[in-house]
Amino acid sequence: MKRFWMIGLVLVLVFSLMLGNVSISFSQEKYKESPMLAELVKQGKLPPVEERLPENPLIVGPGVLIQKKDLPDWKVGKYGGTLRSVHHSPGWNPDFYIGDIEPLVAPIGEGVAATGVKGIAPNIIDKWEVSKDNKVFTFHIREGLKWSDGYPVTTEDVQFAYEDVLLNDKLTPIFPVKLRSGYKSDGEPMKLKVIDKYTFECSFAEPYGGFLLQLAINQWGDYSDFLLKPKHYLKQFHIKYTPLEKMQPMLKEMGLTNEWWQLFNMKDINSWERCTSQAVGFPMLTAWIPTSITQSTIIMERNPYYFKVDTAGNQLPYIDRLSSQQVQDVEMMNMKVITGEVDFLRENTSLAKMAVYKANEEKGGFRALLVDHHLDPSGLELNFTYNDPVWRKVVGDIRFRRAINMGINRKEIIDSIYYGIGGIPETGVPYNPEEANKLLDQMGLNKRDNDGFRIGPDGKTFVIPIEYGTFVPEFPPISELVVEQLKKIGIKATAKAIEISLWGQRVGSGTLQATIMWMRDLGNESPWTWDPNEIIPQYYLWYTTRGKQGLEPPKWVKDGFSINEKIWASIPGSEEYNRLKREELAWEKQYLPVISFIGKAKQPIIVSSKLGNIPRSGRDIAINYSMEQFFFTK
Amino acid sequence: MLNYIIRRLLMFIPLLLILSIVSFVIIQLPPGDMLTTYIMRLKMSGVQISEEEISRLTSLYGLDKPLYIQYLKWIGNLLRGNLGYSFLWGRTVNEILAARLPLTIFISILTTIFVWAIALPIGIYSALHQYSVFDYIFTSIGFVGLSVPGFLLALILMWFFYNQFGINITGLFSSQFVNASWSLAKVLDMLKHIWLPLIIIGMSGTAGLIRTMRANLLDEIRKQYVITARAKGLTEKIVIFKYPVRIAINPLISTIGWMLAGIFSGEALVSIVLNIQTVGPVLLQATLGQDMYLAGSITMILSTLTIIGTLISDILLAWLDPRIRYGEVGK
Repeated sequence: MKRFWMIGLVLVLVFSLMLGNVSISFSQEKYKESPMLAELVKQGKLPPVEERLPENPLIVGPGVLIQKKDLPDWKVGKYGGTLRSVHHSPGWNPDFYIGDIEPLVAPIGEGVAATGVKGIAPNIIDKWEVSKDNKVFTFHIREGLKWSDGYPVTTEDVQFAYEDVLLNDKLTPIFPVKLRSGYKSDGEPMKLKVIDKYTFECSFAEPYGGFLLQLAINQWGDYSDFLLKPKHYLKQFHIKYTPLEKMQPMLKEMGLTNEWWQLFNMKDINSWERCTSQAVGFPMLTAWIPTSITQSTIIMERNPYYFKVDTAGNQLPYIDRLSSQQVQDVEMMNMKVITGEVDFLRENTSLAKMAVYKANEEKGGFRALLVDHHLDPSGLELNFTYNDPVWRKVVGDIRFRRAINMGINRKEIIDSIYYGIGGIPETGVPYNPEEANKLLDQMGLNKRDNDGFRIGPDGKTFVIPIEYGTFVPEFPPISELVVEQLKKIGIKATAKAIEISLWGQRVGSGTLQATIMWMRDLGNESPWTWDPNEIIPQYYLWYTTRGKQGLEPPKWVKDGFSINEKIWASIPGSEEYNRLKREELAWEKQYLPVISFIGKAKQPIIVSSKLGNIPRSGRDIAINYSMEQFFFTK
Repeated sequence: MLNYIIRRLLMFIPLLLILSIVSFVIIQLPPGDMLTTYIMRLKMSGVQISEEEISRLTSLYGLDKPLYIQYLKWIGNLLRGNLGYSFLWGRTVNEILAARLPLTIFISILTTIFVWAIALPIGIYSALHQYSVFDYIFTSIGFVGLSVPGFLLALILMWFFYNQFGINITGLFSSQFVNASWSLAKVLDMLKHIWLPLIIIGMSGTAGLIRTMRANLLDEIRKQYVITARAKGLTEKIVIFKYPVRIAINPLISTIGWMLAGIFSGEALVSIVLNIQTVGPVLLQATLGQDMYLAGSITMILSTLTIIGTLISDILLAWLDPRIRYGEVGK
């Protein structure tokens, strides 16, 4: 009995000691911060880190941002350093852009930044609830979250973004499709109800589970593009809160008189405007905020109020500063890479330069990783509604598309253009020109002209005029190869490069007949599987106007619309969603709306050999997303 | 003379007006506008801009207004010294030019001095010692300099320096000075880097100038007045420098017209290859991106400078060469 008491006493003692210790460590240093910020705290220019962080910061550890299999040796990092980069277009560094993206909720694979959209994880929103019918979404903002200027983030900012920006017809002439029921252009606009300081509710007239996907990743945007805007800052440029006279001096500076909405638009910074000079001083929620944007450099520094910490309680990011120098030419980037002046480069690397990178790795002090590309880098798109009845009849025939799919020698394309790196895409079939020829003969394209090309139903040689934008260096050689390969099955194709703005304009007007483009971009789930303007402009018009304009699509296209509608109605990652995605793939394999040339493609990434927490595999863009956990080991 | 200058200055007004319309229209000619280029740039990175966003941007930049209103707005601001706003850079054209102009002018003037200081003596020497060994050597170098484009030379040198010494010769400043404000250290750092672009940009200019100077002088020294001067017993130095050289230099003076514009824009291709922040690459980028106010304003300034340069060279010529009259033949 006595012994029992003794044990009890010891246990109590141990417990109280533990508790005491815990409470001591709690009060002393629950969170740690970069020496750069600690200095500012000491000077009294910044509140202590506990006050800057939200009540429950997002805790980053192994497998949180990147899957464990891609980054098995995640480590707590060290503070400090400047990550050097290069950019080409003024005010636009695509790698900083992706690295700084903070969606309201995050897309997950098995790590937040894995971006294989299997589900949704907390980010700025830490809790949410979806009604059974997928119509009502209740979101809860991380309590105590602050803008980069220290001002608290509350539902007032959401209400402002909704009522004063989205519902203001000067600022938002057309209500965005993303926020309409079911992601349909005629869907009812979203309704917002603010519940308390941190909770708000978005509701739709129709099921729209995909709304979570919109908030997470679609079109690569983040919180700043809709639904959350810093009211305390922006209200000084909004007519509802600031009289016009007060804005007059600023308007005059811009050469305007009373167009306050232009001033507001200029001051309101979207996710893709963060590297521009106007973005300096704009309150943000991102890991780094722009501090100095000159004509030749972009400099971003750590956001003292960033809401993520690591497992040891260190506030992220580890790296203090991002700095990017402008180069006059894209090729100059490679020069900067091989001389070791770049610490991280993703988007502007090129597979064709891999040998150069490898040869200079040691000398330049970097590693060139070959990781998965986030899209299928090339494929053929035929415009099913191009204004030519013969063309429509031929390309609308599934036998024709199957024949083309079989007539493309993917291995040749992969070997000669992608250095043998890559695989057959999911919709691809083995190369079989005999079978392709048979199919084309069957469908009535059996007559040939003097050069051996097939004659169309109108008695003229049938031609696929491929016109591609000049923005991808691989497109010209691929087009030439495709033209040659199609010749073997008697299809005449021509390849022509057109200037990118002309390409964009013709896609926009739906008048591009055939083109080469990348496909299956992970972050771009459009209302249809691809940009409808590239392949079915008139059908899509019919669909969006409910049959008032455009052309009535055939059944298989309508089926595609209906599968897509159901996908957008369901919740990403749910049983239903995954089933529908499989259904969509089966539909795609059966009807071949586009013909992809290569899947499982690779993209080189340049990382300094001094950087830690760099995944060894996974997707290029996911690595870029996880930049806040990079650190300099030396 | 004064009358002549005033008349020329008055002719500027309609000329500049026509030029401004032409440069504005040319920029608008290709399909699309600055916004389509901007949207495509984002699309290349995977960012899809929605219809709503496009309509918002169109009205933000005033691209929904008819062309003549855009033109009038631009020309009105231009007259008040406001060169407009660059969509691509997100800042005013004045700001962009102010940052790049001093460096551009500095490099251009230095290059010009370099070119003249080397080319003139060599040209004179070659002419006086025609078909001598040195004449052949200079001629060969001159032809190489003329035929090898500057950007190619830049690329070769860049590769050579990297391969041999492992240094990157691009840019005008070491990385620690790029953003630093001007100081003695920065100037010294620049002087360390500037000689290479100077030689590359100057190369073809030097070669061309040597050829022109040589040919002109050769023409002159065979003329009778030279023989007369010699016969009168003047020293060789005076014979050559007082008469034929002065006349041989005339064609060079008339090139000042284009030189002024050249000084302003800098050598675009070499600047791109060597990554030098001059005005040339900005003009190229602005034209490609249909950044109308930036491209339009630079084109306008270039044309104005060309006109002024032509006037200056005309005046200089008239002053140097009394044979030139002011279009008042018969009076």
